[in-house]
Amino acid sequence: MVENNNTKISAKDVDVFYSEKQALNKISMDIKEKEVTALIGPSGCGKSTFLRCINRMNDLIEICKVTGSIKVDNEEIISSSTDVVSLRSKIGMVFQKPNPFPKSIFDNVAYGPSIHGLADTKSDLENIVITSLKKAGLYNEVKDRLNEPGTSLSGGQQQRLCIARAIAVNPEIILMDEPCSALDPIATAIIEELIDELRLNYTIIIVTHSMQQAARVSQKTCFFHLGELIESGETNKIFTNPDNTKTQDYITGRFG
Amino acid sequence: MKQEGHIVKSYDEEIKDIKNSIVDMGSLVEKQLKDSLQCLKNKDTEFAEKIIENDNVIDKMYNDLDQSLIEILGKRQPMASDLRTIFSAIKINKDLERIGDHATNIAKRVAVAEIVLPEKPSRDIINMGEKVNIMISEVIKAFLEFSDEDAKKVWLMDREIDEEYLGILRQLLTYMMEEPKRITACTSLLYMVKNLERMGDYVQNIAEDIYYAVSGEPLFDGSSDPTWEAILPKKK
Repeated sequence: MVENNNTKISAKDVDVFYSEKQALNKISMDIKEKEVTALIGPSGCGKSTFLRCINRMNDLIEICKVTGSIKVDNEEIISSSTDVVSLRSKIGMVFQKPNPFPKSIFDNVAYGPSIHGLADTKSDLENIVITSLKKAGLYNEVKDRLNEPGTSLSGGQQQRLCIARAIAVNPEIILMDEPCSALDPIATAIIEELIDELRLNYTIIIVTHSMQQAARVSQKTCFFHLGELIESGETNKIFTNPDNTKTQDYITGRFG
Repeated sequence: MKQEGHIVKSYDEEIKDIKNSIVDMGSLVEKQLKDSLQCLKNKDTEFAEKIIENDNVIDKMYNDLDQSLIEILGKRQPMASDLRTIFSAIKINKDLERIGDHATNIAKRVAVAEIVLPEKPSRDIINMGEKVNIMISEVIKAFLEFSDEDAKKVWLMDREIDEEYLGILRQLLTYMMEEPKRITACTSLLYMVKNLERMGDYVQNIAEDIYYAVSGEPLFDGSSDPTWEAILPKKK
């Protein structure tokens, strides 16, 4: 595999507070472009909080305060002058529970490109929808029922619909917050295969509780514990020979 | 690195069982070699038959342990130090089984030897075999202690075995050249000494596996020859 050295996201001394409670403590890390980075750690360790810093999702929580610096493509995003709408068009997100809009399959994917004005004509929009569904590996299963509601699909298909919706606005980064924890093993395998393909074009950050999944899909792994980044590095190294005892204890199932 | 137990206690039990089985397997193999050497010493063909029979016990134990190991892999999907321990145990089990085969081969040679084996090289082979047996016992101890330093020490012991191997080889060649009538008997001894030399190599493999399981690093990274100097403890 060709190593790339382009840093896509660079976090420095990121602190997050929910009111008085500190959720993240001086997190610094670089995330490379077109790689999959897995964030692992026990519940409440701050991994999802960190993920949500990257697309400013924490803005939606009134009591949440984020300080420090996160740069995406060398541009500061933790700043009052950041254009959050344009930032989010660059960063797609997929959640634990598939959450399609109560709309047709077609409209679920068409919604983003429409509001961002990415399509000039109806056929442009159709092209985007079809390409996105194809990239998400869903097109063949739904091509004859694009007008049916998104919610009529199976859980795994709904999750791929959400991925198609995320990539329809042509993002560069995809954040995934436990995207497979509500899915059966087959649907999980399909998503993992998809992540493998998406990695060629997107920078992916995935929060997962499944250690095996982190080992399977990611090139880099970051272990969080009690709001701190304990260890980060090559996934293969972390799962065979981690440097830190806490990492070792967590991934071997000794505490958590 | 001393560790807390797993949250799932039965996982601890399974790993403990596997470690115990490796130690039991080691003891069986050690006994097999000890018996084979005894058998050579006394030219006891009846005893040789028993030893050959006993190899089945080792093979059975190998299969049982192999089964436990594949089960724990499937069931627990071990990670980090657990993964390294299981991975090494798989290899150690196989190498011990093979050492058992080589020990048995010595007894097989005694069983078919209708000729008188020359005294001096026989005695030297027995001495060499005893040294190999110490290596086996030490490598099992290193596994039990989970010590990479001890494993490295055992690895070094093979140098002496290789030297003895060459010494006995030369000795046997001289015997054969001096008296071609002895060729048949000396060939038997030649095989035995080769068996012992191979056993030393397998112990080295086991030492390397232990070293990796403990440290997470290979004993040799392939960038240099594993020479005596290269692996001596660094001077402080």
